[in-house]
Amino acid sequence: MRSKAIVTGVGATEFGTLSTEDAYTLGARALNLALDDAGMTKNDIDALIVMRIPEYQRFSQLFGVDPDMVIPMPGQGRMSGIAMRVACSLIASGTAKNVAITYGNDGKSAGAKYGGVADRYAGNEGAVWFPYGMTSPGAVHAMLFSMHAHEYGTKPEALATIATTFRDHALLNPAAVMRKAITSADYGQAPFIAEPLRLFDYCLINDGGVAVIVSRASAARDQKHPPVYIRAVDSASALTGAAFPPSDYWRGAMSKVGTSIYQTADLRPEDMGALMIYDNFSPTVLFSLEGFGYCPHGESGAFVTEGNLALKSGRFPTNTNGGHLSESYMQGWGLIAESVRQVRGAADARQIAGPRNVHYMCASPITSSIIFSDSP
Amino acid sequence: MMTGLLGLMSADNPNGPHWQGARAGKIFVQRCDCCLKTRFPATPLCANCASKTSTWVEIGTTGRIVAWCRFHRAYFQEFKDKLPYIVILVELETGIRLYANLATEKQMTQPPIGATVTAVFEPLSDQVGLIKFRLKDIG
Repeated sequence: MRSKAIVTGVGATEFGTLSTEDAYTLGARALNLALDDAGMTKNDIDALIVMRIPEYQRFSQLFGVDPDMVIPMPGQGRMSGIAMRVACSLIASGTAKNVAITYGNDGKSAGAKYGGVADRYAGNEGAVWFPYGMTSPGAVHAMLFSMHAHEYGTKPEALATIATTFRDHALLNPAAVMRKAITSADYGQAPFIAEPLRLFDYCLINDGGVAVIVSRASAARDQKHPPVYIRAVDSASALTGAAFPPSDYWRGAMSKVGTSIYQTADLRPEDMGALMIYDNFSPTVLFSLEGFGYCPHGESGAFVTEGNLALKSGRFPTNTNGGHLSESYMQGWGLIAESVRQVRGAADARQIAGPRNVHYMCASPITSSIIFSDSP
Repeated sequence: MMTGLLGLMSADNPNGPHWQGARAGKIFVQRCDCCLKTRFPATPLCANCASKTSTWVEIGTTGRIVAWCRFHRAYFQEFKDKLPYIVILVELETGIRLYANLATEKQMTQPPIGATVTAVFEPLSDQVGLIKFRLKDIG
């Protein structure tokens, strides 16, 4: 499915505490911005994927749109890559000409919390672990980091480098929620949440909306923007053991997905100009770099600490928008929007100098990955 | 403990036999009547052979520490006065995995991953108990 689909439009609201909005209004605003960006009207949408917005019918009523197909998807970050894969499949099969994906998140104003008796990260199994005080996706990632530290000697300095590097990037992003520089010392003085993870290892729950429009590659010639080809997209799951930290740091799924997308795209890690790594918690960045072949297994700590992820000086500028750790936790969509900006050359002060091949990756119980490129 | 979390451990809960087993000083898990594969937590179907029938069986109480974390934030009312506390992931010799606590955290900076642990049991009521682990050598 190489480059059958392109991103024609992208839109994002502001991020933060937006108490006068809800998931519907945020999703609708983002979608209007994406349609504007694509030079389309809402009547051009023939398939609509609605993410994290509770009721697709109400959203369609509110937005005044009757697409041929509507697909509601849960508001989980692991689903963002799946939504993109579904959109590309609909385009490649000729089922749809323009697929709109809209994501609306009012989690901050609605008081969304992770961890505690309502936490669903372990599904029904959570109830068995709560009596031991075990809960939250953050604690599972803390355990994963404890395993990696034991197995390879990975130091907290690697996590500090991730947090401070992404924060440096956020300083160049007017849309980022966190725009105050942090140092390694700040990192080390921040409180533990689920030790060994500290405050700055956690993503930022905020309100916001992002929308993306995926269209046929042949639409590229009608675009006001340089085309953004979805050169490859794939996914794999590891759901059966998802109640526990995976013994392989999701490497099995990442290896499968990586092999597939590098082959489809005919690109390799060394061809990438930027990486967008799903950073719900900072250790995921380490696991993703290893799993997708940017460094050997066990060496991500040193790879990161050497400065490879920094925008101006690093070999692989990563999460140039600040990522979930410093821009806002938009469950992958902020990273996908930034991928589009980078490929278009529209990332302003954050624009990468290297090739406009941008690699999005999400390591989780559903692992997904996308390569965006300026050439088909 | 405390009504909230204790309520999750009652006899009518799918995992009730496990918690009752812990009260009696045993680790009970489900075993598929058809393919004999053991599993925990309780599920209505065997993921291996889809059989619906199973029996709770006793398994060995020795395992090793796979991972750890230490909670510095109270997600449960019941743990508010226990902060910070450690949760370990243990793999028993049968391959069953459990999150649990250490029997004692005295002078524990980091639980030693890979170390052998043995279960000890902490009664919570007449009916149910928790499984905790102690390091085999240190106690």
